[in-house]
Amino acid sequence: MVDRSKLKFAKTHEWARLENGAVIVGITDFAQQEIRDIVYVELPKTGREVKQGEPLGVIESVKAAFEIYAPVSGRVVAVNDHISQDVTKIHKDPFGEGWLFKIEASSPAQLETLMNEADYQKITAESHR
Amino acid sequence: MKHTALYEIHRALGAKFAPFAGFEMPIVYKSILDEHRAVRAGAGIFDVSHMGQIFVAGPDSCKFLDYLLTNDISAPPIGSAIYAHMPNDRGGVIDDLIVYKLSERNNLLVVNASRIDADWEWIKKHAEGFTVEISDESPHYGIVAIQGPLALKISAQLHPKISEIQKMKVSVIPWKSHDIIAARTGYTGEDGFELIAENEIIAPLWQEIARLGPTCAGAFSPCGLGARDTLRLEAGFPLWGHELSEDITSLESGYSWVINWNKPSFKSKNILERQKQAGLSRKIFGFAGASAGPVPRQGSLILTKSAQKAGIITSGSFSPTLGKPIAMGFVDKAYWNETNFILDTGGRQLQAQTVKLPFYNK
Repeated sequence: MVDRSKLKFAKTHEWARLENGAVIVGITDFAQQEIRDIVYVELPKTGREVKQGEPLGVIESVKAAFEIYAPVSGRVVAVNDHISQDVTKIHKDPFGEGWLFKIEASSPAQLETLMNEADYQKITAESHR
Repeated sequence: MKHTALYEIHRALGAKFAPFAGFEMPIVYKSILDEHRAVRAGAGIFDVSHMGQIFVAGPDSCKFLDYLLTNDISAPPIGSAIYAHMPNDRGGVIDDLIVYKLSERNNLLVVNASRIDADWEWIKKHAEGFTVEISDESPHYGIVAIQGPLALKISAQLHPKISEIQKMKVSVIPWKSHDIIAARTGYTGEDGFELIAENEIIAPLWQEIARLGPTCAGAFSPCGLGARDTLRLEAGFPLWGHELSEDITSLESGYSWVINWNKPSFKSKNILERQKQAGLSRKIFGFAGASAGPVPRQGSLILTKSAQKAGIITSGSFSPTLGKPIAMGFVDKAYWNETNFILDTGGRQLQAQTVKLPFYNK
């Protein structure tokens, strides 16, 4: 079980967690519930340089496509290939096996610009994606 | 926003709602994929009460509809359900609908929710000179659809007479001191019924089917409009606003069989005849993804391998049955012999092949 107090949250519904020098990124439990029926995921190539807030992937449900945004600037150093084989992992375990990619952050301090869990829960209670 | 008679039931089931043709309708209860699969494997119930009911009564009822619609209404026996298009002055399609021939002098038209007003205006405008009484009863009627291989077994428990209704037929069945117009029709590619009745009986009818459904040893689920759309797409059925519109003719939509050329005359017959003789410049094709990939949506581009624009997608989704993206779209005549295309959705591309419609045939 992932300790959610160690996660940081973007208002675009990604979570981020620093582990062994890389920032692991996924979408939140709230987001996977809202999107529902995920059928296809497009992940970035490793080596890609991204800026915070830049779109770098797409999650598609039966009904619509949703962009995934980089929670921090840096370079993509790994992607979760298991997701392409079984997209339902995002529904089953969004904070664990459903992770999407890892970014080597150019400035790890950028994580501090993201929300903590309590603040994220406030915005999800008010707004729907 | 309008609500159907089942709104509170949908809420209690935890439905996710969205506006559709002025109604707040259930799009999904839990999962479109699960609801879709329930209909293919067992049965699903749908609230389609947003659809319109226009009655055309009187001695000229069939004659009037023969004039307004592409298909023949006079010839088929009483109790027939007849799919037809209603052309405008240019041969475009005002709406696609089913005529339920309740008697020689009484036909019920079930029309698309988004087209009720346009249909009504058109029908009213052309009624002069015919001895007909037309009435838009849409606000007073609802429809519960039950679809899937178990639909017959479940529906037969409402009234034994329901099992005598053959495919594309309709019969009036008494139920709880009301009349149900029970039709063996649907929009999913499965066997099933559409039960049309006055609003006050719609909730009890839904509740009774919801009680019977789970007793029939198979998948059973309430289904939202999300599953309705993926089911109809797999079955290759057109949806007005996608494969049909006022600027698309029945011929272009691939539904030339709805035109009965033997009728001496009907609205825009000459225009459709000319188009048939001249040949089409575009028509609907089915596409399936060569593998997993971006899901094409309405408006996605159909490109050749050399990136020439060959047409446009009218409907696209992920096919739960086939496990890959499927789509329908218009292809320009110059590319009718090609079989491999790229479906481009905002720069994201899917390799696709043309496939014969429907995608799913039970």
